[in-house]
This record gives sequence, structure tokens and C-alpha cells, in this order.
Amino acid sequence: MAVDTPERERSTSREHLAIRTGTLHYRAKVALRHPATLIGLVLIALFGYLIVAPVISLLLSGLQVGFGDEAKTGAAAGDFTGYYLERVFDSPVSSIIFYGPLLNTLLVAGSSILLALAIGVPVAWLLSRTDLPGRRWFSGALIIPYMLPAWTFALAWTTIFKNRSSAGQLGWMEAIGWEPPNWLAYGPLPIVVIFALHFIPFVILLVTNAMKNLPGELDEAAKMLGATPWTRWRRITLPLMRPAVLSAATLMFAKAIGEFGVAYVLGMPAGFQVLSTTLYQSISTQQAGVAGVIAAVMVGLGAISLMVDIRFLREARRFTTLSGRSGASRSASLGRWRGVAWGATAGLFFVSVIVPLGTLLLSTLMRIPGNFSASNFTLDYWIGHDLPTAGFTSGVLVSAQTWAAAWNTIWMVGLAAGITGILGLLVGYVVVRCPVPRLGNTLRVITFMPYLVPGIAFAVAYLSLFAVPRGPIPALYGTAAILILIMVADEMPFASRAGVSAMMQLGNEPEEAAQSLGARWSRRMRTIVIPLQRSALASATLLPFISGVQGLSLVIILATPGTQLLTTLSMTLIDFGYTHAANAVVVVICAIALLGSWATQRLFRSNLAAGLGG
Amino acid sequence: MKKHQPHRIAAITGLALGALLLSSCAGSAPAAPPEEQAAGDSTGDFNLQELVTAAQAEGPITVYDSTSKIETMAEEFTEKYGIEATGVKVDAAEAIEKVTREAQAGNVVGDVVAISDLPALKNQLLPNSFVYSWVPGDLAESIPESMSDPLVMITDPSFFAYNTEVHDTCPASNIWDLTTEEFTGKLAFQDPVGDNGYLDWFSQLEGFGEEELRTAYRQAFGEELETDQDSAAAEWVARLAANNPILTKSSEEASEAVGATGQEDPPMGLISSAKFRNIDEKGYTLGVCEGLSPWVGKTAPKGITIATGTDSPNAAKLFVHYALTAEGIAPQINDGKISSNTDITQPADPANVGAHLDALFQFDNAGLDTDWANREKWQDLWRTASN
Amino acid sequence: MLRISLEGVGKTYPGNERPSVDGVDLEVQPGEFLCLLGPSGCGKSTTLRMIAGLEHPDTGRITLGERVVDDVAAGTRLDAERRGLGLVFQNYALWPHLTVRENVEFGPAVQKLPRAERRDRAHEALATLAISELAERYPSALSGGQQQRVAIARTLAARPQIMLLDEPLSNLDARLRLEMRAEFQRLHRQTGNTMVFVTHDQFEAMTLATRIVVMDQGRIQQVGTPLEIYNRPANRFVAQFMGNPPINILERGEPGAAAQRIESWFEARGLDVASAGIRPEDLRLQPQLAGPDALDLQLEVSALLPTGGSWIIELGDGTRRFFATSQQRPEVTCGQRITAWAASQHIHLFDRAGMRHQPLEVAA
Ligand SMILES: Nc1ncnc2c1ncn2[C@@H]1O[C@H](COP(=O)(O)OP(=O)(O)O)[C@@H](O)[C@H]1O
Ligand SMILES: [Mg+2]
Repeated sequence: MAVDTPERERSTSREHLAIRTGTLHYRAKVALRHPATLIGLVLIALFGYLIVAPVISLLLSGLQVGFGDEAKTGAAAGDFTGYYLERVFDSPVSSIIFYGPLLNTLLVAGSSILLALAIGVPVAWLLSRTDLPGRRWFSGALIIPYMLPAWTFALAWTTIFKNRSSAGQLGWMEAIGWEPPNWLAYGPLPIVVIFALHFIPFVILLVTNAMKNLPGELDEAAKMLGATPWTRWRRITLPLMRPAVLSAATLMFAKAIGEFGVAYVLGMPAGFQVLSTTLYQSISTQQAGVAGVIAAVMVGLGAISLMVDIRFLREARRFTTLSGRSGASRSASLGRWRGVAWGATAGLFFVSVIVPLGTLLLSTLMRIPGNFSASNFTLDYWIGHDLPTAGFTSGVLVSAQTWAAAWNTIWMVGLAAGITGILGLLVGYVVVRCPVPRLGNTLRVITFMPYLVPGIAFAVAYLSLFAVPRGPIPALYGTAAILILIMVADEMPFASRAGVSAMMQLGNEPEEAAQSLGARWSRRMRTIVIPLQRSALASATLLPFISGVQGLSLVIILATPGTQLLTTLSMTLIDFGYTHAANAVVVVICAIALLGSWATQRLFRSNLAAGLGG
Repeated sequence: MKKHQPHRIAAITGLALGALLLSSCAGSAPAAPPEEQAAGDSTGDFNLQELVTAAQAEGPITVYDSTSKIETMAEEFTEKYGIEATGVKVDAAEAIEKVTREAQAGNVVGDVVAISDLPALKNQLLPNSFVYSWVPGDLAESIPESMSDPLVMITDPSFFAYNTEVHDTCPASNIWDLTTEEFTGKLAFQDPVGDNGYLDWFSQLEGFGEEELRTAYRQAFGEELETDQDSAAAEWVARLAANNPILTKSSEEASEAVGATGQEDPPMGLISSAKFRNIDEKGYTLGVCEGLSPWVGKTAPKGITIATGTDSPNAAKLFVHYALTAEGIAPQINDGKISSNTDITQPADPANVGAHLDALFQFDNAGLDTDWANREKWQDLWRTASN
Repeated sequence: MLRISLEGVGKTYPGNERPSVDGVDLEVQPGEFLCLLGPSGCGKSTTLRMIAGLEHPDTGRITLGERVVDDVAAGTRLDAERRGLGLVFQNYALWPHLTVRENVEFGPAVQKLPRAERRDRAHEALATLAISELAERYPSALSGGQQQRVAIARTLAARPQIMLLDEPLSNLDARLRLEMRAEFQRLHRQTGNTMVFVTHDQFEAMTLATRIVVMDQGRIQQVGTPLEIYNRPANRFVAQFMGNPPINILERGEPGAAAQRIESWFEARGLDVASAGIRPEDLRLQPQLAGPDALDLQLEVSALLPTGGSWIIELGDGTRRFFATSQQRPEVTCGQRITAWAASQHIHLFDRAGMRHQPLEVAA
């Protein structure tokens, strides 16, 4: 008996342990049995490969000696080194290549966000909550700037406002006898204005959506208590818009940090550098190490803004519980301000759509820029034959090259966008359904990363990684696949946001109802989830399509023989100095983006705001 | 606690993947150096016919070059020899990245690689045996010593240019003039900080143009140059940077800045010879600044090499040979590039390059290592001086 | 305390064919607790919102006290924020980004009261509704009943002279509703405010109101005290709308034994009416409870439904159903054929237009 006791004790504690590990096992088993867990694991592996690996390799290049830098660093290629860190953060040129540009970047990003909000939020209010004439039309039309490549704004700006500081052709202002001062023609002011114009659609989309979902009674309740319109706007509407505004600000911030073309075109004549331009200089002079360090800082800035966003959103969760049936939001009557409001909105449309598109279009119709005599106008660059431009002798619309490139653009970008949309929904599915919440959260973090990495840097990382076989995956460089993959990776941030919010809105019930009737997973997906999410899928596909069609930085580095895209075609034409034809190709790009989004919205009742996950 | 876990997972996944990548990076050794596979030796008896026969037995080739003219060249090569060749336009920086990765992966796409970044070629691609330089035996005599290691295909001249609508003759007579107040904000050229070609040119000036620069200084100001900088070249570059030049994204833009008509006070510019065709195509009024002391312009070399791991070494060699003949290189030299084969007569071009050959600052392969080592130095000098 | 008067007030929403409110004339006396009662969609909310100033009429005139706040003919139109009325919304409309205290202090703050007074007002309002301990919470952390109390406290803190309430109880469960009904009665007594209360629930209206306004299709059907409305419905609609189980209506010319019986009953009295209504509680199963002039109907018991304190008896004559209620356990069984009686003064008569037929009452 006495001998037995310790035995027994030991055995009970062992049993205890067995039970505990048993439950763990059991839990793991149950979790693994859920298809969402499996999908989650597969997705993590996939994005680990498509996103995390390139980002890490990019960041590592800032810490490792690059090929050819052995002499400078006194170490073998691949060794760890602090040389690049020191050069960026603590060298005689630090203030020129890093601290100054960093400050400028923050200045430009901050001001353009404020400007975009200052214009976008009131416009969103006009569009969603008032009797503004033509507000439905404006709701679509004011989104167009997002579909124009940002540098078309820069092109328009220089065409109109350039002055003698950059010599060459006369700007339009000069042509009519007024020489714009340098601060207006180049540098921070135009960059901020252009960023703001380009970003306003973000604000309009997200804030309009939020305002539409805001019960009208919240405003009326304040009205009943005697609050003036201004007080109501300041104390009720605006604070309630904060989550949407913050989301928009985060998206804009990351874009503003990474956008290179505008800052380059308009900054250079004023010697105004931002991080993306020094990054570009480093990449184009093959200083991968310095580029890695600068890219890391940019990623870090984006990550900080994202964290701020997440923090506020967590705090804002209490904003969302509005119980009970809420009345249709009623639209405020603008009264005698109707005309003024219409004028302002139309003005925004004019400045952000008509001016850039018009300038672009005019530049394809005028032989010599700025000369408005009738004889200077021509359709040659569109439909001409036997033009004197040796490398591209037909008009853009009759050239076989354009059509081939357009077809490549459509199928490759379309395919990438479709894949992106599906992956986005799957991420949403895992986030909402997976019994292990960490899996979903990890996926969310990973899929947002590409947004923080500037396109050129991302493409360079892809090139270094995927030129060689890695494990079971063959070398992808040289195939169209790598282009499609990087487009998919690059557009995941929006797609996964859209997927998560669509799945959250759908909730568990429809699928659970089918489950309770004995439907297996594949059937549930096929007959319930996917059909219900058709329009969400279209929305999640739309944004990747739009930005894929105009995206340049990714493809220019990864383009392969025989896969000319419209963007690469336009770059080739610019190389030749055929700006007319190059701009005409850009017009075609804009047209495809516009038509594509119009068609998707028509066919699938998708909407862009849903595509942003708003 | 809980909140941090997703990040931790992400970090761990990332690290694991990173480690994996690193190890595979380090492991992939470049392909073995080439054995002399067939006909044609750099020095010994070269037989073109044998090379052609051997080449025709091989597969198709792909050629990287920084100009889209390469597409035409490749087509004409195919037409002439019946060997399928594809020309792909690839910028120097991309070409280096691509060639490196292709070689490491043993997945060679570009069989022939023409690269305008000679210092990188010399310091990155050649020592790692990713590519090799091969001079056709029958042409070795015609190629200057300074251009044969690595083999230069063409040099690309740029000229100091002025607007002929406003000025009858060049407003400057000495490149030191360009650093004076008269030319403040009045010289347009491509932003050198983002372009290796310019940085290398500065370095070459220091290495091979010191004498001429000092002499020219004396001519311009009537006194000896005294400077705290390392060299007359550095002094010139610093003064130029400080003189608020008009920096453009491309040579094309610089040609517009200088040559667009209707300007009252157009700047001068440093413009690639090819851009002089804008005189015809766009009606620009451009003239080469003849008589500018000590040089009217500079040249930038473009090397041509063969990928070590190519499956078609003979076809590649044949293409290199072809690119050094008048017929082969015609698409490129027609707009003002200069073949390294001195036997080829320079065709007429809008910049009339043939007439200025002797007045150009010539690039010398002997400076490649210095150029490579000093890029950051010149970049920093430009940045600090222009600030 | 203010009088509210509506004269010929009408409103058609843009895009709608039919007016949502159609020529409403109404006087709300100072200090009264008036219920707007009617089925969903009849225009109650629209009427209330026009009083509040959140909507404006396209015909007629609205006066608050001496002040004309809406007069379509004169072009007068005062916005809601200038009317100083309190409105409690059906879904409470609490501001989710403000705490309970901040919600409640909003009104006093807008009135630019000193900080201390705001605090006192909020404190008092919260205490009145017994929710002082919730002051620092956010609305999302409150139950439905608590949210309702906060919504009322928010309105109270602004000290409006008139309180408008739009179906404030419809989002609550049955128990809370009862509790809050008592609360409203207490509030009315305590503040003496004029209250206009919109509901589609007749019990709410019956128990709370000093007067009820029954609406249908944008028009007022009857105005009166709860008992008036119940006992002397002005028309068939009101008679049918009030009461549960609903009144038994017998149509002249309807098939079935009961209809034939009533036809002969009408004829015997020379009545020129279209229909008659008998409330379930007025249909008696014992002849001794009916008067001498009572109507008798031969019916069969088809179901007995106990409701706790009382019983509902479902009866039939082979073609249609009747309901009767009884406070005592009825001594009948299912399938039993019986005679049911209704005293003549309990029979509501309606003419062809559905209006109450007066002569009988004069006679009675
Ligand atoms: N904003 C509106 N726009 C158009 N029609 C409305 C609006 N509000 C209410 N209506 C219509 O007016 C009628 C009366 O509505 P309402 O006053 O809300 O009814 P109740 O509150 O009695 O249920 C309904 O037919 C309703 O559909
Ligand atoms: Mg209502």
C-alpha cells in the first residue's frame, strides 16, 4: 500500500498531463479540421513566398555587402556590414540624401493629406448627404483622378506652369504672357497640390461610404437640441467620420511616401528631393545597399502610420454599435447654397479630371506644344500612316504594336486582378472563419506589407529572388508568370481589406445554415459563399485592375521579351523622344482603366469603396 | 500580450524564409568559366566561316542592349545568318541585375550582353565570370587598345550644344566659361546624381583630362588654377554643380531645353548625338558648340560581352563579330554613335559626329577600376557642391 | 407649456404620389399627453417630424404657442434647432462617440450654459431616470432599456417645453415596455410637459394618453379620450383598429346564419345601416346578462383559449368566426351549440360610408 502511493500520484499527474496535452491535441485537430485553417496555412506559405521573402531580401540588402562593394566595405560580398547604414544616417551627405528628403517627404505627405481631407471630406458630405444637383454623376466622375496615372497631373502642371528655369518649350502661362514664379512652377507646392488631387478619390470613396451608413437621426438629434449646422458638423458628423478619415489618411500616407514620378518631375528643377527620389537615384546607380536602407525607412514610416490607424480603429470599434432600425438618412437641403456647392464640385471635377486629361489629349493633337493655331492640330499621332518618326511610323490607333500591347495589358492585368480578388476573399474567409485568430491576423499584416514598399524597390527584390529556382519553384524570371505574381502581390493590400470587410458583412450565418443542412465545405463555398460574394469579388478585382493597368515601376524592371505592355510601350516611345505617341498610349491606358471599371461596376454592381475595404 | 502574437508569427515566418533565401543565395556558385568550345580564338587564327557554321548549329540567342535599336539589329542578324536572335532593350542597371541572377541560377536568358556601365561590367560581371569579353581575331587590329578589355562595341558621344535660332555661334568658347555667372542656370543636362555615365565621365576627366583642364583654365582666366579639390576636374565639377544647372530626366529633355524654338534666352546643353535628329523631327534649332576648349563633348562607351553560361557560345560570338562590322552596327551608328572598329567610316548624321571625332574627350578603359571605386565620391561632390 | 396647433397641414414627400399627411387639423393642449395612434405608414412620424421642424409641410400652418413656425401660405419656416422642442427617436440616436454624460450635456452645452450648470442639469436628468451610475459609459456598452433612458435624459436635460416621442418603446421587450410606460407617466406628472407620443400600439396609447388621435392614410380619424375612442369609435376603421381580439363586424348582405339574423334584427328596428360591430367582451354567453332588447345569435363553440386571467372563446356559424371574451371560466365545451347575446346599446352601427350611425344612440 505504502509503496503504491507515489506510483499512483505520479500516474495521476501523468494522466493530468496526458489530459492536458490531449485537449491541446484535440484542439489542434479540431482547428486543423476546419478548412479555413488549412487555407490559412496555405495562404501564409504563399504570401511568405510572394511578399515576406522579397521584403526581407530588400531590407537585408541594406545590411549585407553587395557585389562590387568589397573594396569599399573591406568585407566579402554577402557579409554583414554597417557601411550602408553609416552612409545614410551618419555621413557628410546624410543630410542631403536622407534627412532633408525625409523632412520633405513628411512635409509633402502631411500637407497633401490635409489638403485632400480639407477638400475631400466636404465633397463627400455634399455627395452623400445633400441635394447637390447631379450628385450621382459626380460620385462617379470625381473618382476618375484615381484612374489617371499620377504623373499625368505632373505633365499637365509643367505644360501649363513651367517657366524659364527649365527652358525649352514655352509653358501655356508663359505663352499668354505671364511667367509663373518658381514656387508655383516647381517644388513642394505643385507636388502637394497634385498629390491632393490624386488622393481626393480615396477620401471621397471612404468617407461617402461611411456617411451613407451613418443614421440620419444622429444629426437630427443634435438639431433638436438646438445645435447649429456648424456645431453638428464639428461635434457629431466629423468625429463619427474619424475612422473612415483615418483609414483614408493611412492609405494616402503610404502612397505619398512611395510615389516617385511626380516628385521627380516637379521636384528636380527646384532641387527638391524626397525619399523616393533618392531611392530612385540609388537604384539607378546600383547602390543596392543604400537603396535597402532608404527603403527600410520608407517601410518603417508606412508601418507606423498603419499602427496608428489600427490603434484608432480599435478605439473606434465602439463607434459601430448603433442598435435598432435606423431611418433612411435624409439629405440636407442646401437652399441658396446649392449653386455655390455645385460650382465648387464642378470646379474640382474640372481641375482634377478635365485639366490633366485635356492637357494629355491636347498634347497628342498638337504638333508643337503651346501653339494653338489651327494648322498645328493633327490626328496623325492617332491615325496617321508613314510618319517621319522612324521607330513608330503609324498612329497609335492603327499601329499593330499598340493593339498587341493593349491585349497583353488586358489579359495579364485582368488575370492578375482576378487572382488577387479571389485571394483577397480567401484572406477574408480565413480572418472571419478560422478558429485560430492569429492565422487571420498574420495574414492581414503580411498582405498589407506590399503597400508600404515602393514599387521599384519591390520589383528589384523580385528580380533578385525569382531569377533562380527556390526549392520546388522554378526560376520565374523570363516568364509572364513573374509579372503576374508581382502584380498580385503588389495589389494584395486592397484586395485583402476588401475581402475581410465583405466576409465580415456576410457573417457566419449563411454558411452555417448550409452546414446545418449537411452541406460539405466545397458545396457551401460553391453554392452559398461565392455566389453571395460575387459583387464583393468584382469590387476586390476592380482596384487591382485599375492600378495594374497604369502601373509602371513593377513591369519596367520585370518585363520580358515579347510581353510588351502599354506602359512599357509608352516608356519605349518616350525613350525615342516620341512624346506625342507616348502620351496617346497613356490616353489609351486611361481609357482602358475607365472602361474596365465602368463595365465591372455595371455588370457586377460592385463599387470602388468596397474595393478599398471601406 | 495577445495582441503582439500575430506580429511575432509574421516575424518568425519572415526570418525563416529569409534564412532560407540567404543560404540558397550563398550556395549558388557562378557557372564554370568557358572552355574554348569551337572556332575562333581571340588571338590565333580566326576563321569566320567556321564560326558561322558552328553558330548555325546552335539554338536561338537573346541580346540585351540599352537601346531599342537592338531589336532591328537582331532581326537583321537573323536575316543574314538564319540564326534566330531576339533583341531586348534593358537598361544598364537592370542588365547587371538580370545577368547576375541569371548566371547564379544557371538560367541564362541574355546570351549577348551589351552594357553601357563598363565599370560595373569590369568589377561585377567579369570577375565573377558571369560574362566574358571576346575580341574577334580578324578585327583585333582595328580596335584601339583602350577599348578591347573589356571589348567596347560603340561609344556614345554627347556634345555641348547651343540654340542656333538665337545664337550665330556658340556663346561659350571654353568649358570653364560654363562655370561663370554668365551661365548660371543656363546649362541643361541629365541629372548626374542618378546616372552612372556622368559620374564615370567626371572620374575619367580626373584621370585623363587633368592637363587639358588646367590649360583651358589658363586660357579662360589667364591664371593658374588653384584649388582645394583633388584635381582640376573636381574643381570644374564643383563649380558646375554650384552654378545651378538645369537638370533634366533625360537627354531628350535637355535637347528640348536647348533647341526648342521661340526662346529668348535659351540655355546651352550637353546632349547625346542621337538627339540632334530632333532638328528634323521636331524642328529644334541645335548646333554643336564647335571650337569649345578643350573638348566639344564627351563619349560614353558601351561594352559587349558573352554570357558564360550560354548554350549558344558560337552564335553569341558571331553576333559580337557582327556588331563590330559596318553592316551590323549601322542601326546604332547611323544616329551618331561611334563604332570601336576604327576601320568603319562614320556615316553622316545630324550632329556631324565624323567631323568632331578628334575634339571629343575619349573614354579610356584603363580608368574603369578608379571610376567604379569613386562613384560615391563624385556623387557626394556633386550633391554637396550644388546644395 | 405651450399649445401646438396644426391647421390643414399636409405633406407629400418628393417622388411620392400620395400625401403622407393630408390636411391635418389638430390642437394639442398645454400639459396634455397626446398619443398619435395608427397603423404603420399612416403618417404619424411625418406629423411629429413636422411639429419638430425636421420636415416642413407643403400645405397648412403650424403654431407653437403664439409663434407661427410653419406657414406655407406666408412662407414662414423655422428650422428645428430654433424651436426648442425635445424629440426622442425610435432608435434612440445616441452618439456613439460620446459618453452618456457627454450625450446628456450636449443640449445644455449648445444652450451655452455655464459648465457647472450643465453638469447639474445632466446629473439631474440622469438621476430622474435612475441611470446616474452609467454616466461615464459609452452607448455601445448599454442595454436597450438603458439606451432608451439615456435618450430621454438627453432630451430632458435641455428642458424643452414640449417633448415629442416617436415610438420610443417599440425596440424594447415586453417587460421593459411596461416599466417604461410607467416611467413616462411619472415623467409627465413630474415635469408637467406637453407630450406628443407616437405609437402603433393601442395599449400604450390607452394607458398613457390623456387624449388619443387615431390616424389612417394621412388623415385624422378620431380625436378623443381613450375611453371615448374605445367606446364610441367614430368610424369602422377606429372600431376595428382598437381592441384585441378585434371587434366582430357583421356586414349587411353577408352569407351565413348570423348575417341573416342581424338582417332581420335591423329590419325589425327599421335601421338603415351597412354594418354592425360587437366587441368580444360584449358578446355574452348567458342570456341573463343581456338586456331585453338584446340580439341573439346561434353559434357553435370551436375553440377555448385561456389567456391567464380571462378566456377567449372562438365561435362560428358555419361560414365565419366570432370572438367572445369572458372574465370567468366559460361553462361551455368545444363543439357545443349555444346562443350568444349582445345588448343593443353595445352594438355599434355604421353607415355605408363606414361612419358611426347616430340615430340609435339618440334613441338609446
Ligand atoms: N423620407 C421619405 N421619403 C418618401 N416617403 C416617405 C418618407 N418618409 C415617410 N415616407 C412615406 O410616408 C408615409 C408615412 O410615413 P411615416 O410618417 O413614417 O409613417 P408612420 O410613422 O406612421 O409609420 C409612408 O407611406 C412612408 O412610406
Ligand atoms: Mg414611424
